[in-house]
Amino acid sequence: MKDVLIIGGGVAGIQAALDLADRGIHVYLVEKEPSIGGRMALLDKTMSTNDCSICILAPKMNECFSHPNVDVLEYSEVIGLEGRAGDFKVKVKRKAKYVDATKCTGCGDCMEKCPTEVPNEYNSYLDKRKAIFLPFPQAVPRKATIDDRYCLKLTKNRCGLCEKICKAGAIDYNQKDQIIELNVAAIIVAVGLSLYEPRDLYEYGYGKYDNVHTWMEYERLINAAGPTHGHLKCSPDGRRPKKIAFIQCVGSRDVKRCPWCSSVCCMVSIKSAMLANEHYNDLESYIFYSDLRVFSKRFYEYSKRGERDYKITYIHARPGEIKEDKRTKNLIIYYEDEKEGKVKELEVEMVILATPIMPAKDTKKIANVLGIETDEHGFIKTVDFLKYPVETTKPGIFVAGCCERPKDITESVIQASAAAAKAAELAG
Amino acid sequence: MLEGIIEKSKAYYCVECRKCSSICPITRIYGKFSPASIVERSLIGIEEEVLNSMDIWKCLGCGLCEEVCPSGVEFLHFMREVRNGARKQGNEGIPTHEGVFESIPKLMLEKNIDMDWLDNVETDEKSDIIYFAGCLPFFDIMFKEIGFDGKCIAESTVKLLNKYGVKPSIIYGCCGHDALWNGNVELFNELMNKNMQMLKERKAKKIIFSCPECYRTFKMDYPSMDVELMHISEFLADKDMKGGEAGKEYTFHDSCRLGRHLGIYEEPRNVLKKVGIKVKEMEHNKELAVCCGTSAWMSCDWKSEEIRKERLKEAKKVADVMITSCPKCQIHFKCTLSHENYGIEVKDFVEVVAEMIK
Repeated sequence: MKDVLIIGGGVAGIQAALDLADRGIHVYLVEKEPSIGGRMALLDKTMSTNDCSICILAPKMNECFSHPNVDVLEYSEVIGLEGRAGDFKVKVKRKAKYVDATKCTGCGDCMEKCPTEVPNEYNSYLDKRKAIFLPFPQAVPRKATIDDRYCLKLTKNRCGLCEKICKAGAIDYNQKDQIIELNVAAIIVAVGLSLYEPRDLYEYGYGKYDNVHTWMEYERLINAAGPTHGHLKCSPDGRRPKKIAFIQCVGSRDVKRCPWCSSVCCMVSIKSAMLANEHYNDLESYIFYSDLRVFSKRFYEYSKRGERDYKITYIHARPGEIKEDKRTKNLIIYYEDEKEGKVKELEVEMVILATPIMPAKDTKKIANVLGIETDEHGFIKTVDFLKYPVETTKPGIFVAGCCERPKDITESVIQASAAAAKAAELAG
Repeated sequence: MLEGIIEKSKAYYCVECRKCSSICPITRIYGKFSPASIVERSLIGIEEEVLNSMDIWKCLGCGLCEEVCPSGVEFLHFMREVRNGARKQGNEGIPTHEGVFESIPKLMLEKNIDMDWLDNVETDEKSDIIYFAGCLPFFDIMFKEIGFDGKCIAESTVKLLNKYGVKPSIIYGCCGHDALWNGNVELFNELMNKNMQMLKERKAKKIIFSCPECYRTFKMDYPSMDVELMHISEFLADKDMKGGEAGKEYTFHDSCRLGRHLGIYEEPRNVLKKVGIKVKEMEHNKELAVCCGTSAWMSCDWKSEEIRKERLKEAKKVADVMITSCPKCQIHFKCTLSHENYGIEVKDFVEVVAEMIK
């Protein structure tokens, strides 16, 4: 039995790791962040079932981490590849965490005392985290990491508070990056996604109006572990909204930006609107759509349920402009009512933009390291969409999840299991 | 007939999301005109209805629809071609000012305008650097009563060129912009050929424009020539200059042609900053700036007036003076200001720069 390397510790990578490990194949799971979990760990609920996302994922994360056949290499990157299918030699950089993982208990004392606050990417930059941090409360492994871009000790040789406070003596400012070499039979690429930043759609005022957010920001706002502890709040006075509008296809199905359909956003917005109504049962939502793409099993019924039970109104229009009431910070949406043939205004307190799934930032870089191709949009290319949907352009390297094309959790998991089965043929 | 137009302007890609209509300044106050509806009606083949419709003359060509269209439909191109088709069927729209601005270009075809109009500036008729001053002399006469000073725009432009060592040769005449946008391709072609011939005779190497419409037309609608084209704000952008105390609050109205059509937003603002004017932005600025309400002397009515009033109010919220680079924008705003007081002045970009520069 040979080993398999999985790059990316999101739900796809975790599923593939568990499938392989359960059949006795040893897996290295490389994750660039300090915790596995990926995007799914940051979602509040899953769509079409409205289950708590982290409640589904956390047991899998723990199972994966503690599985005797899985070595999780968190905070690491693949930097080199040689060899061929059945016998790859992989170079992995393990970035210094400046914390001895064998000693750290994850107690959190250091994070409380650390004086350096930095933008929190795990909460969509809506709040701050410390320079020594856990990405999110359910992080696996639950070990602190020092961000060397911000830590005062590492950048200016000042402070050193965390070392003083740590009862376990786990802080080690002298830790260095390590390069390790792995020998694997197959590789699964599951590096995930990034989301479009709609700053160049000036007509929607993202970045300019306080109460306009992207759907990922909304996931964090409505999440109990998020910056507002799950309470929806509007600028300027922190009141909770009574009307929310969701605008679909903001950046997607757009020839100047992302021409593809992001495939999950219609369902995500319906889910988000349902959640809002579950939090505050007088809350009304308006979903502005181009086509409501609710195509999978029970999705259409889900959209109807939203209309019937959760005060959702669907409006067929892409709004042309959003204006802000300077005093109340309410948002006035301009859209054309196709039946009446005139432009109407709708005033809401919060607008959520459904921005599309894009390839993750470093997809091209990792593709170059591995010697595999990307498609015209930068997603990882498969040999044949119908016949070989998990095979990349290099034998022995397989793909799963959103790095191949936008897809939902179910599809990511299906593709991950398929990729694991293919990888097992080479390992076994 | 519309099929070729639909193909060329990519109208096939319309997904009927109606984003264009909800940002169109005309649709917002007059729902019967809707870019989305015009495209939809053309796509389902109600050709006669579209070609005979008076709605097609209401489009301002401002380009807000194209700015936000997710499908890349070239609505302006579509509209121009549709107007050309309509004209052939006898639907010629309702031109403003009794059609005098359709006649003037025709007269210009007959005779070159050769005149010594400007005072206190240095020109050199042998220069291969041309200042294309466009229709300013005509506008100057037509709109003096509402306080439009075309001569000042031309003089200021040449003064600024002189300051940086350029003695240009000047061409007055019609670039054909209005004819083209009103679907009169035949007249446009004649004007274009005449202008190109004239530039060839003068061995032009560089042409400088103060009018965004002329600039757009030369750059985007004429066949490419081996001549450098630039707006006066681009010419001034890299020059060292000093200014003084502004004393008033200024805002900048991006004309559709210089802004959305040509993508020039920062150059005029940077030049103004260098001479001491920090532009206060209106609510709608740069990519989302709202049109002055009329284009190509076509269909000016209460809707145009309504759009202008809104724009002037928006300007007054932030400034005492509205600067624009387009002589037509200035004429249109001054027309409204001639019978309603909004407590705001409208000035041309070059006029302000020439006043402020030291």
